[in-house]
Amino acid sequence: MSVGSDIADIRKEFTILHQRVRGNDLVYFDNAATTQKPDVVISSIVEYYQQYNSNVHRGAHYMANLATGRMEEARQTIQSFVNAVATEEIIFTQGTTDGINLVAQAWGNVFLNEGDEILIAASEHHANIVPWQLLCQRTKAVLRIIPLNEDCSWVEDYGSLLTNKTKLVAVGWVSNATGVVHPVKEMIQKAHAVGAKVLIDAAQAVSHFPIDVQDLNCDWLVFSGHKIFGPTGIGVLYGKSALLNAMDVYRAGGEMIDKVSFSGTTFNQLPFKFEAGTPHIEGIIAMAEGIRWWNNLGWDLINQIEKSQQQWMSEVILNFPEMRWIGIHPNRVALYSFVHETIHPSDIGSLLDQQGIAIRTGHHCTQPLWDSLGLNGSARASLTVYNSEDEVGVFSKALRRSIKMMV
Amino acid sequence: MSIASKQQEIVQEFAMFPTWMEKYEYIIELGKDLDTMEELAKTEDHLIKGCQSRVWLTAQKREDGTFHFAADSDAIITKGIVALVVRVFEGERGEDIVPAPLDFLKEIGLMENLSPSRSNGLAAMIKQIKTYALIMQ
Repeated sequence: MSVGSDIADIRKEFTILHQRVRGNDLVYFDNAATTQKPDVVISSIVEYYQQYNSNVHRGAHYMANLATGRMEEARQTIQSFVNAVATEEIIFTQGTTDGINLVAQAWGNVFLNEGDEILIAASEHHANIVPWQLLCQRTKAVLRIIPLNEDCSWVEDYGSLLTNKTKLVAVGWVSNATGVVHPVKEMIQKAHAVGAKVLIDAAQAVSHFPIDVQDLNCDWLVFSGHKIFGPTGIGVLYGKSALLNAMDVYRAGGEMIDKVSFSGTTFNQLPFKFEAGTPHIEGIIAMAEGIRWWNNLGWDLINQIEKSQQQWMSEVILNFPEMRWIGIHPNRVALYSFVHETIHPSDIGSLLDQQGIAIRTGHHCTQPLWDSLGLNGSARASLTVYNSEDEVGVFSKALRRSIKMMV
Repeated sequence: MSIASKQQEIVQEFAMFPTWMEKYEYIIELGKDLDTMEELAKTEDHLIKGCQSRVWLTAQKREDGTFHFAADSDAIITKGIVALVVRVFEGERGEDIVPAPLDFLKEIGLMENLSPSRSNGLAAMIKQIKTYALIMQ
């Protein structure tokens, strides 16, 4: 079945996609960096400011009630999106990075001791490396790294790195640099067997397949709204409530308190314990709108489109044997990192940009990964549900033209 | 030829190419034509910070007080842009290099056309040339 007309319909909902860039129709293949927003998401922000802008949870008036209701509705939308047991397990953060830092501070500072081990993979994003390095400096815990196979998947015996010293496993589900999907469910089972907690970085996974935190049985899971058709500056930390309750407070201020006096302060219950200050109200509402929009498309269509895109892109891969395509592993998403033998990735990026095509070049915030591959980075094309077969064709032609200009 | 007239010459050259793809083709040619630097000179000390691609730059002050610059990059477009900047400053005196505005980059529209990472890198390179011109006695 052809998905062409479905994609054409989806594209109609994105005003931003219908523009000319440097004289060419825009081809936006930088979706792993951030997805574009459908018009309904943008409208929800305008509506909030035009119709019911108010501070939440404390106002004594009609609009405050409306805003609070919409924000808590958003929490329910996210709860069912990840299949959490309760809304109190959904903490609004600034994004994936913020969620990881929250856990590193509020859990790590309290529960980690000298000699304890944290396990991450060589493919992690810097946001899932540096907070743990700093935590190790504070607590004298030790960071252990899962090495990668040549196709950028985890080595088969990654489980042997789990010991009774392992207190935390923090791993990315899908690599933002390679597109490889990692076996996190198996990892969670193995980690729990040695008594370790597991945090899943779902930043890149969230727009590719359904997430079920109960089925995964992860302890925490983090993602960002802007990678799933929502605004920037807003994200989600899911955590099991017993664990969130046991954690220390993170940022202090309004909303997160129960009672404040100069002899001492007690803290609010979940989820508000971790949401100090006035939240990013319109971001929360618009993120939920984006997820509802995504839910309405349905996973059947989404998966069908991604499968077609992967077929179109495999032809491109075959047409460019002079490129090294990174992470060609059977279990991957429509994200393609590639390196030419003699041409620098930034040159490819510049010439594609001249032809209206947006990709990303560089190390993609995964420098240790590139060190392990002996490379300085790559060019990366990442597709999502609105990218058409025509666009893949335009990309392929423009890539050929760019290479011809430089070799 | 003065720094200002060399810049004017470059602006005229770029005006011959109507599209940016052609301008880039020209930049790539300039990059290919620029002498490659000796591998030995490509040291950490000569690396310009702030570029996505690697750019090496060395400066030499001749007996007569004029400067000689050598530069290289692992990215060909960067190397072409580097060649333009080096051409403007090559053979000039420190007191002329330090205050010189680089208007040609704006006039040919290069600054607006570059990605943020590339224009940051270009700014870092110009700053390094001027620093050499200022401190080398």
